[in-house]
Amino acid sequence: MASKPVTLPDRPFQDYIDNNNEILRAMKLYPDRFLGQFTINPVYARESLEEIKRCVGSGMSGLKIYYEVKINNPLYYPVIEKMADLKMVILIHSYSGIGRGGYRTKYGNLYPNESTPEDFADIASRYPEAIFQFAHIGAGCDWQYECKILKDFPNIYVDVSGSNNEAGMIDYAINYLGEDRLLYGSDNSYYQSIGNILSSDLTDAQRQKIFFGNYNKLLIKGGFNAD
Amino acid sequence: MLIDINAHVGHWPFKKMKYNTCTSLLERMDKFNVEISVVSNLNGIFYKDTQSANEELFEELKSDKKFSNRFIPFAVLNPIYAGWNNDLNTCADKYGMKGICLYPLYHDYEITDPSCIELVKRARDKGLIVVFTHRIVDSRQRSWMDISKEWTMKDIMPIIREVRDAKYFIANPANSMNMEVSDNEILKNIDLLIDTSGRSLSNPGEMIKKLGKEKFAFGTHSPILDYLTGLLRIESLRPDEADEATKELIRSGNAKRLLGI
Repeated sequence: MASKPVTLPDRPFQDYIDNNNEILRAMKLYPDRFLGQFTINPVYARESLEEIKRCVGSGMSGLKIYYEVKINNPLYYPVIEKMADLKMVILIHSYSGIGRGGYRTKYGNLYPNESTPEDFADIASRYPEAIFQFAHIGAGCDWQYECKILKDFPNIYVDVSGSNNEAGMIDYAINYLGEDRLLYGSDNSYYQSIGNILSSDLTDAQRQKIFFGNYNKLLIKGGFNAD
Repeated sequence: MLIDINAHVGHWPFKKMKYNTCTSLLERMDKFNVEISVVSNLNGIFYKDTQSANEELFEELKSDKKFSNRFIPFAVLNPIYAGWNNDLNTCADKYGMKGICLYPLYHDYEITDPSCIELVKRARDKGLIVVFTHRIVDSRQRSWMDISKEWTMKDIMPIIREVRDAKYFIANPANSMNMEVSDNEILKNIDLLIDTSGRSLSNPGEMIKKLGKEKFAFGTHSPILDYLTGLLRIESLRPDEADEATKELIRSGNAKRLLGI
């Protein structure tokens, strides 16, 4: 699943369109290898809904956003409602860390608009029919804290990507979230994301679910199938 | 053959650990075909008297014959704490330890502290390997009681410049490996191995090209990091990045050379 979110603040909406076009080009070049996620900025309400329509019409199958605003900001409500109608995954950058970049902000984050597990819990309660992907518990965040918060929200899926391949993370996550809510992702940390799953204490059937089955089930809900 | 040059037993006080005893680590090694592990005791980071941790490791290794050919013990020493000189002798001469792990950030001293330089020189004279690490855990998700600083290669270079004829392991290279050109040249010409467990090896082929195939060795940083990522970095090298002989050097050959086995 390829995407190109806009990671700099206060960029014009054209940047979002350009990034989506780049992914669409990749999908066209390698149709058997890439699915595509679009990106939008809910601050641009009308443009975002139009862009979702355009991208879905072009074959894209999910949404990926960074931290333009927090996921439970009311600006997102129309976008989430649209995504729920489409039965497509909403992936959002997330974080919970005690000391990112040397900041000692007790379970606060360096960037004020980064969505925390508590923000996800809030929005998942408001929209139980929507499908959320909590991004990268291996990204240097406190994955134990995150799993404990997300445990009771079955419409939040969690990808295990990131550069911090701590031993035991996958086993801990499966204990809290169950084998059906974990998704494989790399976050461009290819060795760590695979090594951690392979060296965990999972069964082969559970690994198969994480590497492929769980996400494909979500794709099927939205009318896609990678099998 | 696989030799893991970066494994630990012992506890990490901020998280429940698994596979952190010699018995459970050996099970791990057997499962993933690792023949030998260089092992030290994490408890030594936290005990004021690190020698207690070295004694624990020695006793644990003595407790079962099957450990004898599978583990190479390294000591944890603190050169600003009393008695390190005697502890070094005991670890090397009585416990048969082949190296020393130093943790200046945790034990709160400068890497160029005269005592540290003296310890490294004494380790050199005894033929021991000296280990420095970029970090034990990712500080972004550390416990509120843990240290917040991590190291890069530049932070370790001052002691290497000072004692160039010692043998070094760089464990868990998780941060920048960028150095001055002159330091790069020093590194190429000394006995030093960088283990493959750290995230800085995101492009191991490029790193091998830059520093040389003799500078890398398989490492897990177990039980802190997962057991297989360090191996994936070796096994996924493309033929144009490393031939089979180079991979074998990284799996075990380079470790054998420095460890003298």
